[in-house]
Amino acid sequence: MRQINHHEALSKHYQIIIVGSGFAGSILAKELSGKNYSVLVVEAGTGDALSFGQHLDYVDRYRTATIKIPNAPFPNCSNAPQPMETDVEPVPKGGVSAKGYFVQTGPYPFASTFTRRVGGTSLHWFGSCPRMVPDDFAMRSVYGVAVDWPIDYDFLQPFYEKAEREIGVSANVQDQQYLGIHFSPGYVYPMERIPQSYLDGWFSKGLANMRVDELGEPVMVRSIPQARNSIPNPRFDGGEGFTPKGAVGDPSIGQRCMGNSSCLPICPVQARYNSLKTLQHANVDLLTKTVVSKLDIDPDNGRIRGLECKVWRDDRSADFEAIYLKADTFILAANAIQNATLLLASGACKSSGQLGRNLMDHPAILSWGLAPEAIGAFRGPGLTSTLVNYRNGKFRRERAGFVLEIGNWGWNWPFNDPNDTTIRMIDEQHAFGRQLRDSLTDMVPRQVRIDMMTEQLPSDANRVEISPDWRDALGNFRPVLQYNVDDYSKQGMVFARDFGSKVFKHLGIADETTFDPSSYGYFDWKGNGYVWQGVGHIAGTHRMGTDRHNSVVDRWQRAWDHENLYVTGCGSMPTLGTSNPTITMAALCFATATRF
Amino acid sequence: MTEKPDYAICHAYTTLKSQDDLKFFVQLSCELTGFNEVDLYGTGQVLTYYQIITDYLDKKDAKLATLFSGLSSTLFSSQNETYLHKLINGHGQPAKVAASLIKLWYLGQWYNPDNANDTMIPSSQSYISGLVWTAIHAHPQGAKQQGFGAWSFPPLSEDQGQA
Repeated sequence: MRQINHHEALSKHYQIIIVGSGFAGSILAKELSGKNYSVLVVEAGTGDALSFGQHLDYVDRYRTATIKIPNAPFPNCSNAPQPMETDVEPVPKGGVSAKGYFVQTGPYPFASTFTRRVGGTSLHWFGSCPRMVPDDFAMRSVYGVAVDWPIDYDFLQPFYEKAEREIGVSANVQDQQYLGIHFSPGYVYPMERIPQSYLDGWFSKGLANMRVDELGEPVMVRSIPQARNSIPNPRFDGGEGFTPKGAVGDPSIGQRCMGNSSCLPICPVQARYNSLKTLQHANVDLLTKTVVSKLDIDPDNGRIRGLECKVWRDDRSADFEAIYLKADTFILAANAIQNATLLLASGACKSSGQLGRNLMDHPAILSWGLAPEAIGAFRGPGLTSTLVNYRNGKFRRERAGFVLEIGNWGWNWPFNDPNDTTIRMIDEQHAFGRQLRDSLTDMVPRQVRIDMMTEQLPSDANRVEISPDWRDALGNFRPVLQYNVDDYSKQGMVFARDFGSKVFKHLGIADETTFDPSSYGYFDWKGNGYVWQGVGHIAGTHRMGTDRHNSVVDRWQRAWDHENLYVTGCGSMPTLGTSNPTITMAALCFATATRF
Repeated sequence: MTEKPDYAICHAYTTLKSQDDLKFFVQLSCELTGFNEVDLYGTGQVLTYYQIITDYLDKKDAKLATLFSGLSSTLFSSQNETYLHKLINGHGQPAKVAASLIKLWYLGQWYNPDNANDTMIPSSQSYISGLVWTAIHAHPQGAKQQGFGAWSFPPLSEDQGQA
């Protein structure tokens, strides 16, 4: 990869231009340049793709940030603005909430964020890589809700394997064979599973005799596949083995997860994958600080002729230079919301009427409490195991499935712990000295938090729009979002919360959960209050389907309306199941690469 | 956002009023945190925090030794505990300053005693040195990595933790 300026970019002819340098953009850059295409990657944000020093600056920003949100290490640029969790607030009835980058029109705010910077949101993801279960691809046929994908699990299976190799996933196949998830004969993941936390073991032991009522089966607490480096599996690739990828700019570190307990927002040693690990090996040019404003569409045939871009220099000024970039083929990989915003701004992909619609996330409901003994909170990767029984089942006809995540960082979510507990002890209990120290020693290592990450079905009404009234500093459109959480998901969450309470009871965990009516995600269900929260899985705005009338892209993520345009990323996913979507999105991109 | 001074490059030696002043600061810090002098000096933050609290008090024309004048020089005595308990449960300036000082040591984060929204973490090192991580038998998130797989070991029992 070579980072170039726009003068050089304009002087060359590229066969392919990729917009965005996150997961999708980087994987496609590497794959397509590997097939000898000349490729330019255009990134709206700033950043030095190969600098380890810059990474250390990010780490420093994280440590000194007083609010440690996912974007805390990554400074916002006014010329390529990004949403921030701290801007999420309830949307006033009939009004908008526009204090951040998103213009939220409600009824709920869309609570998840992304990063606009070289590396994209791969800079701050958790690294959880579970595959989708086969029924997730056929929700309409199997459960009579939502839509089917134009592809099934078996179509994606070989591409999952490619994605797991590129991203470097640690897991054991035997842990992952459940609810229909299957593997090709003899397959092993690149690395052994990440050791499960002490808490995982405590859960497994404590729940050994618990049955899931409705399903009449024992609970399944399974290690979750993770994109963090573990012990390479010598049997990988027919005995070829696997070499973990260390940090970009300093590959000698990060060969193993070392237990920094800060995977999200940032792994200090980069044992957790980020897309720069892929991009660095791609034989491509990279142009940063270049925001694509519009696709230039040939009115005769719908082909994309070029990209209208704004090149900015300095974040303190909105000065820019307008340039026009030409190529044979264009690939959007700018995140589900940015892809949709850009396509809307260009008047592209109109046939289906689906562009911008079906915006999804995984609304999560939390339970937190105190275990009867120390379970070692705040050590290790944030998530090493999940309870998976409710990822699939007949109940999905009526209500959403969910995955129960066993958090390893105590009440770090939904609070800013251990800080909040410490402050409460000091300010409210006036604790100090040995008593304060002992109270913390007694309480915090017993903190347990589970969250039930719940499926959200696609809906016409959940959408990204644009409006001439809402633009950013460079005059580009800001995403105007309309978002709701429907009864299917709410019912799933209410059930999940009740199930979570049973799990706590079984384990002797004192439930300390409260749902604050002033929270942005508050809802009432049969007289009881609950709160959902966003988890950063932004999907569904340019879904794939079987024809130009029901979808924006085909199974290869090619736009039905524009033969030389691919629109890639989680936005292509018609439904979201209960899987963290990155590994599936990466698999889709490997499928796309086979078309070249 | 206001520019924060670079506390990593600490000027406390030049602003140090007297060794007695510093000694008093450390003793008070021990009483307030439940950690001993070796623990506190071991963080490398003594001079930084001394400067922060001194900067704050100078603006108010106040002195730590005056605010906490009832403190005896015997470390961790029940007399000191009773005295501080009374002060901290009061509503005066010493209670506010003590609370901010405890938070500074435990979290590596300074909260202006007059306005809790005015807050900052002086440096990476102060975040990493937060005593809370020791108290909870963990390690600062994003630093002092415990090693591959350490998270699967049982947590420290209380006895081990206090050894």
